Amino acid sequence: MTTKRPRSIRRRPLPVVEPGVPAPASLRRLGIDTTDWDYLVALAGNPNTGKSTVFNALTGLKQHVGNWPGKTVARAEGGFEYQASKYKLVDLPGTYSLLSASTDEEIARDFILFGRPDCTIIVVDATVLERNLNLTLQILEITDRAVLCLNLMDEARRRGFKINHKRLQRDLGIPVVPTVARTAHGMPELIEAVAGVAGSAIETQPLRISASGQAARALEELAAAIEAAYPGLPNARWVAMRLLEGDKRVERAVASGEFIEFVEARERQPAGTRAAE
Amino acid sequence: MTAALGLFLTTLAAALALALFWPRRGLLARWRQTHQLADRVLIEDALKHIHARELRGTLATPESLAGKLGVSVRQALEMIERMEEGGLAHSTGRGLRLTPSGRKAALRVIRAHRLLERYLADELRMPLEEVHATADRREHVLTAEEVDELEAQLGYPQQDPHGDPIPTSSGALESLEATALTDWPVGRPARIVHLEDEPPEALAGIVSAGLVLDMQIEVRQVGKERLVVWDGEQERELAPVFASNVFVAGLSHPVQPPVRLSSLEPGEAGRILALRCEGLGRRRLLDLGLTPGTVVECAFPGPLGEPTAYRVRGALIALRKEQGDEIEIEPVSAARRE
Amino acid sequence: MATATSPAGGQILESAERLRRGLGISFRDQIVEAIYEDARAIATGAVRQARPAGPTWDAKLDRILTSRIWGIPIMLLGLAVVFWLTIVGANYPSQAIALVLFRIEGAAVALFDAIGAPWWLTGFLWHGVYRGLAWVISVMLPPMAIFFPLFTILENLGYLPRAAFNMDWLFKRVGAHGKQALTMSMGLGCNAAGVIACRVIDSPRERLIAVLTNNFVPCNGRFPTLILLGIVFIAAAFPPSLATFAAAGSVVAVVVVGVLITLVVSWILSRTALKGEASSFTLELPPYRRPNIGQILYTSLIDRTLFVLYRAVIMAAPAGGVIWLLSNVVVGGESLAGWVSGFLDPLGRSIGLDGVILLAYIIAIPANEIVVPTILMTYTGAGMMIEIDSLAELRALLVGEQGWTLLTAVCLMLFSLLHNPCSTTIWTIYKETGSAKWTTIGALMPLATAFIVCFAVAQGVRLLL
Repeated sequence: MTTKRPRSIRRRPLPVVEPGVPAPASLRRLGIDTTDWDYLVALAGNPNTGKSTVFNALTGLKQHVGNWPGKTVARAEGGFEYQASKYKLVDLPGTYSLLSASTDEEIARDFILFGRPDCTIIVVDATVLERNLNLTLQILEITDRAVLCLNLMDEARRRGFKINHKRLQRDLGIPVVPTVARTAHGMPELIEAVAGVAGSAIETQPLRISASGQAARALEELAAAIEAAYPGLPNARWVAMRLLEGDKRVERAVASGEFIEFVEARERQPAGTRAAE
Repeated sequence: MTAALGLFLTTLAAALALALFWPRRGLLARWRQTHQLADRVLIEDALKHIHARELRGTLATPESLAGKLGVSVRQALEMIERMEEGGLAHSTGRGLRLTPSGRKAALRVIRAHRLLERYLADELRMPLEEVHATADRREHVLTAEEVDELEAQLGYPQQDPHGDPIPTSSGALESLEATALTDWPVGRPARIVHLEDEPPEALAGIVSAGLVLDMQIEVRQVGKERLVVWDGEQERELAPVFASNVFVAGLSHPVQPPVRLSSLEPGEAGRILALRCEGLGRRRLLDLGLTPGTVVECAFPGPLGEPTAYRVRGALIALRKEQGDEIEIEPVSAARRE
Repeated sequence: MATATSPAGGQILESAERLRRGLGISFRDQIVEAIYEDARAIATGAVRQARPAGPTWDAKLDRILTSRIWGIPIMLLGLAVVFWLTIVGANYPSQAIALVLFRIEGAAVALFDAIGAPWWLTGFLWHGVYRGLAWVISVMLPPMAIFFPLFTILENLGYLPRAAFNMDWLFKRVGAHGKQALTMSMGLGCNAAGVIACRVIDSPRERLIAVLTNNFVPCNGRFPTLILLGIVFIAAAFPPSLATFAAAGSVVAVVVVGVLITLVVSWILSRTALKGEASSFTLELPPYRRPNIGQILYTSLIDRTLFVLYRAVIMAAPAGGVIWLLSNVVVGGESLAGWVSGFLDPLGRSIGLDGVILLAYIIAIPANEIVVPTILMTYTGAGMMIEIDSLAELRALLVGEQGWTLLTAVCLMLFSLLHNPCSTTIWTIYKETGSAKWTTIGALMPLATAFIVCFAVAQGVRLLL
């Protein structure tokens, strides 16, 4: 199959919050009020997977939903509050991949890479899972702080698909939450998973792409060199992959040392922002 | 009155002088820039010519240079002198040779030229016989960085649309082993590896005969008037003058006409063997999950016959006929489908 | 290449370059293949088809909506139904709103007169600014409030990509991209949104074609003009029972003309300034989705209707003031409006319109919505009150007093369809292309097209009759 490495998600108990606040009920939608956030959450996914619906369900903001590829052309932002922490949610343009050079893909890629979200929600269409996993696996190369939102479960059921989300969770190494965003079904669980990943209560162990042969050897060699130069960089393999493809934006970032800033900024994070780190 | 006239004339003269001598934007500076550019274009074209002759094994001469660039022999000799002064080329008894730095400069221009051709053919979809002339004009104005940027944007293509290898940024150029179709034995299977881009009329003739890069062919018949090749499905004819501009390499198996995705009827399926395209077009197909080994089912055609919707990994994706033609498949019976 | 400020970065880039040379193009292929291999393995492990997948209703729907015989008729019919519902549904609310708003004007004017306000203040505020506002709200709000939800249903259902699929053959023939049909659909709502939507086209040449021609689909700001003309002039030629159908049909006809002009202009651009053949085209046809009515109503009313209305109102208020001033500042025995429209009149007549209409289009550059109000306010001049809720009176004014004919109406519909984009759209074109040259072309090319087409129609008809 994919790789020999066993993967699991360890769940630590969620951080203790003020007593008396019931878990899902403590969600407060903040609409466009995104001041003073504690956690930054990105919303990624293929076009037409109900990404905007998930965004609306979380923030209470009614963002326009369109059913055709490439609908979200501008970046929408919103906020919600959960268990006394404020989350800023950024809706990224829907893309099929992060490898091509279209404007949308660049925006999405740059945000996940340089915007350093505390958690990235990957919304996938449960009826076309295989196709959607392409983007999922690419995102997991960039960031290990991710949650898979397995949306449109009702449609999948209607089409006779049975999806074993526990197994999916084990294979991908990140929390997987089945949802029907239209009816807000599964949203409390999604928020909980996001809070867990953002607050480091849930430790993820995302699947890495299992290349083989010549490409894999080159990839490992370069990734090792990058890791040696920038210890602590969470996505050295992805950077190596982009460099081997000749991504000019990443080349510039490596040349100018933007990655050093990235690593340093991670280390400098004030203790309060990342609760359990 | 005279004072006013004097003032007017002085202002006019000053304005004229400014317009003439203004640094970088003045007429004189502009003229010099154009002149310098024209000069550089000539030198770069000369280097390309010498390089091409070296590859062919026949060295360039002042006469061949003059003929190629459309200048007089005296001007060609002047240019040779300048190239020698600049350490780019030197004359030997039999003709002109490039110095290492001259070869580097030549390869830089060739690299820009072939990448531009790739861009024009793939992204702007210019007719194949027109890309060469356009690239010839634009190759001289690109900086090395812009060329690198273009190469990355195109996804590091290996060859130009005529099948010529593209030099890398460090100046490495693969050599191409190919034989002119007119010299190829009758009946031996071959693959087209190169189409000569000059003269454009010949290329247009080759294209209209239906011969394209990577095509598997077999020469059936060679005559004075025409040369007949078989592509596994039909016979194609072209004039020997055109055929001498088609270069082929040997094939280890008999000619097999490729099955294209576009040939599938609704309900039929095929497994992808190879993508016959490069650059961004290839990237887009790959990103959609059209990777070799994938089973694709033809779903339904559009109301006007085109595009056609295909089922790929559970998703419905519409492709035009051109994209379908670029995808080689082996038919899969419905029963063996996953 | 950026200069390496960090030595480690420079080294990494060097080894990347070295390794890449050894791999060539196959690296990309290998990575994508590896990703999809993993994806397949994971999906096969996690997904089970519980029931055998028979032909789903998706497939059945696709077979009808993209069928050789029905695909395109259904598309046109859908468009006609949307317009018909808009026309029928907007009729009474429009009249009611107009009635209320103009009563307010009457009352306010009476009040101002009673307290002895100077005539120019009353005129400027109430006959100028307020009347402009009232017009735009009563004429625009009801059609938008009906059109946007209907359009959003089609959008959420997943029909638009099918429309693009049906139309692609035509776009390919003219060297353009099939997704241009998507951007044109967005243009029906608002051309600025349509121009932004052109980002979905990844070939630069074809994106530019889509940006430059987006204006040829009439946006929501121009529908009221088309609908009004359709009702007053085209529908009048039919028996009353068919009037609304005729009006809807005439608007659809205008949209179809817009599509044809788009194709022709795209073809010309592909042969001249933006030379090239159609590039690689891939379009995903997403699964159909059940539209969520509550969300549709909310988003289409709040996001779109109010947004567009707000923009129109912002533009209409000052424009109303300007029109009042132009009509009431008298120089040499003639109002400014009279001078300007008199100056423009020969040009206007040559393309089947008149000077006042051209003047209205100049004032309406910020927002196309105010063209008809501007024309009427200029015609009626200073204080003259006209009951705009009565179509008969409108007809009397336009046909009786101003001498409009069916030709005027047709030319105005064509001019409204083809003329230069509004200032918001022009600004959006600049932001999207980043080029002053293409922005200028994007603004002037439609204007030239409008003049050429209207001139041809007007002169052609006059020659024949």
